[in-house]
Amino acid sequence: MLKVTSLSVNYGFVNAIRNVSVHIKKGEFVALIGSNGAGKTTLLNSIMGLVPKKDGEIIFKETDISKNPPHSRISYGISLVPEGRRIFPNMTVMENVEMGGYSKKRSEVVSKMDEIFHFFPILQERRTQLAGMLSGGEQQMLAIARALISSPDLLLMDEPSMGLAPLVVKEVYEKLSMLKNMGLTIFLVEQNAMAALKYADRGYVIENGRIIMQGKSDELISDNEIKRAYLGKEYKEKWER
Amino acid sequence: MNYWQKDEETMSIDEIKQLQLERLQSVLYRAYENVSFYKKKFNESNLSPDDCRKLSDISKFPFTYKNDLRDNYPYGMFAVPLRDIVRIHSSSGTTGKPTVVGYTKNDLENWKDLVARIMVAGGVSKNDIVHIAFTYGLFTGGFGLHYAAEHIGASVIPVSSGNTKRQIMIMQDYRSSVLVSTPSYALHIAETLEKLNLTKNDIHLKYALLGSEPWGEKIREEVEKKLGVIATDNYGLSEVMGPGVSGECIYKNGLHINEDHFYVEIIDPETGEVLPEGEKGELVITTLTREAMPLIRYRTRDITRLYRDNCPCGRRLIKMDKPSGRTDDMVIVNGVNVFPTQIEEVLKQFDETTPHYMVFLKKKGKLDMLEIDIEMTENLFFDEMKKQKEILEMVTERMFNVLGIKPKIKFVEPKSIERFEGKAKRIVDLRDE
Repeated sequence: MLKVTSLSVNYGFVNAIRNVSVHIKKGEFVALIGSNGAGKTTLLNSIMGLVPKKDGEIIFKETDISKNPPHSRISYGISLVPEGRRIFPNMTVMENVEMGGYSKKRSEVVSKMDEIFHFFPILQERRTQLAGMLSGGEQQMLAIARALISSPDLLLMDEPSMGLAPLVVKEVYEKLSMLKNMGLTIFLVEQNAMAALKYADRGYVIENGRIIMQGKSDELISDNEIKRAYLGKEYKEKWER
Repeated sequence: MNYWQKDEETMSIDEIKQLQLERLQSVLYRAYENVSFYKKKFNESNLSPDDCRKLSDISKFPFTYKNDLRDNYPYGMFAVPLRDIVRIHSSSGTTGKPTVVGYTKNDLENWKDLVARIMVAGGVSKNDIVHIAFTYGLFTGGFGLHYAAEHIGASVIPVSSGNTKRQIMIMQDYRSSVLVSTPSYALHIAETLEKLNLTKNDIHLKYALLGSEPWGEKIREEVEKKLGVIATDNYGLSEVMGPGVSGECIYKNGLHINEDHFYVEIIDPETGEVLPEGEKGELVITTLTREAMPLIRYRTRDITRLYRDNCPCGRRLIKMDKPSGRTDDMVIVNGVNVFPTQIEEVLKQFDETTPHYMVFLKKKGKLDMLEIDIEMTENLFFDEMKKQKEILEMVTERMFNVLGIKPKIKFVEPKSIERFEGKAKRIVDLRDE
C-alpha cells in the first residue's frame, strides 16, 4: 500500500532522516521504533506532506504522492493522528470528530460518525462534553476517531502511548488491534518499543535518522540491538581483542 | 505445491526489490557502525552507507575476501557483542588462521527457516526420517540440515559420516526416507549397497539432498537410479551462513536463491565489474539479515550464472546454475575444501622435502582420492629407506591434520617434477576419467 524508498529530509543543514526505505502492505500493522530525536516524527510528517523531502519517493497505492500537498494526501486515503493528540479542548467531542471530516460530504460524515461512536462507546457517552474535560486515554481515542472520520485506508499514528498510564496504553493498542482486524492498515511510530511490538506485525528500528534493522515483531522484541536503540544506550562491550 | 515460507518464496520482483533495498541499507549501517573493519574500509573508499540509494549502488562498495576474515581472527568481523552470540562455527584452518563465523539467536532462527525452505523444496515433509551423513562438528553442513529438519518436524538421525555398512543397516532398519550427504558419499552408499547384494528396494529412501561439493547430471542419474530417490542440489558456504543460500526444487533446473536474505551479484573475477543477469562469472553475496556477522559483497570464488524463470514450482526467487568451477585453485575432495597453499605450508615445515609437488585427484571406487607426489631433497634421497619411510609417515600425518583428509603421499626423485614458468599447475584432476 505504502512504499517509501530512500527518503531524506533536512532541517536546514541537519539531516533529520537519511535514505529511509519502508513498505507497508494492505492490512498490515507496522511499527517504527526508536529513541527521542531519531527521526520518527519526521518520517510521518514527510509521508503526510507536512515537511518537504530532500530526496526519495513516497508511493501510495502505486502513485508517487511526494509532491502532493497534505490535504490531497488525505483524499488519497491517508490520515494522521499527531503526537500529543492535538485535540481542540474548547470544542465538544462531536465537534472535534467533525473537524476530521471537513473535506468530506456532510452525509458521509454523519454516517461514518455513527459507526465511529459505535466503536468508541466512551466518546458516544461524552459526545457533548468539551474535549478538554476528557482523560488522556479518552483524548487519544478522540484523536483516533477524528482521523478515522475521513475513512482512511492507511492510519498513521505518532506516539500513541505518550503520556498515558500503562493500562491506558494497553486499551489504546487493543483498539488499534481491533481496527487492524477490521481491515485498516496501520503505521505507527513509538518510543515505547515493547508496547508497539507486542501488537504490530512487523517493525522497523530507526537510529540517527537511519533504519538500522527491520523484522517481524517477535524477532525484534528478543533482540539486544533493539534494547540498545530504544534505550539509547551505547553499550559496546565487544570481546577485547 | 509445498512451501515452507510461501509469502517470501513467491514474492513478486517488485516486493523483493523493495525488501532487499530496505535490508541492504540497514545492513550497511550496521556493518559500518559496529564492525571497525567495515568502517575503515568504507572510509578509505570515501563511502558512507548513505551512498546506497538504490540496489545497484552496492557496486560502489568494496569487496570482502576470505583473507579479511582471517585477518580479523577470531571475532573481529562480529557486529554484536560476544554475549549475543549463541553459536560459533569455524573452518579447520590448521595452517594460517581459520575463519570464524558467529550466529545470534535470530541468525539461527533464520538459518533454520532458510534450510527448511530448501528441504521442503527438495521434497522433505514432517513425515520423513532424515538420515544426516554429513560430518558434524565445526562444519556448518551437519548442523544446518539437522536443525532445519527438526524445524520441519521430521525425525532426524544424526548418523554423521563413516562406517557405511552400519549406515545401510540404519537405513534399512530405521527406515530413513531422506539422505543428506555429499554426492560422492551417496554414490559410495549405492556401491556398498551393491556389494552387500542389496538394491534400492531394500532401503526406504525417497529423497536425497546432496551438497557441499560440485556434481553433475551423471552423478545425479546414478544416485537416483541406484538409491531410488529424487536427488536435489543445495548450495551454501560457511562464511555467509552455511547451507541454505540456495537449493533446487524437485524440478531440478537451477537453484533458487533465498534472495530475501542474500543479495547476489555476478562479477567479472578479473575486473570486479558487475555483469548483467544471465552472464557467467563469480558469485558475490551480501548478507541482508545476518546480525552477528554481516558480510558486504563477499567473494565466494564460485563461478555461476543468475537468471529468473517461471519455475513450475511457483517460487519466484532468482536462480543460479550449479557452480561450474572456482576462480581460485581450491579443490573439493570428498566434500572437504583443499587449497594448494595448505600443502605448501606443510612442506615448509620439513627440511627433507622440496616445495615441488604435484597433486592428483583420482577415484577409488566412488570416493575421491588425493595423491601427492613430493620431491625429496638429495640428502634424503641418498639416506636409508628407513629414514625415508619415517619422514613419509610424518608428512602424511601432518597433511592429514592440516587438510582434514588423508592423502596418499609418494616421494619422488629430486628434479623429477616439472618446473613451471609462470602460473604453476600443480593439480591434476583425473576424477572424470
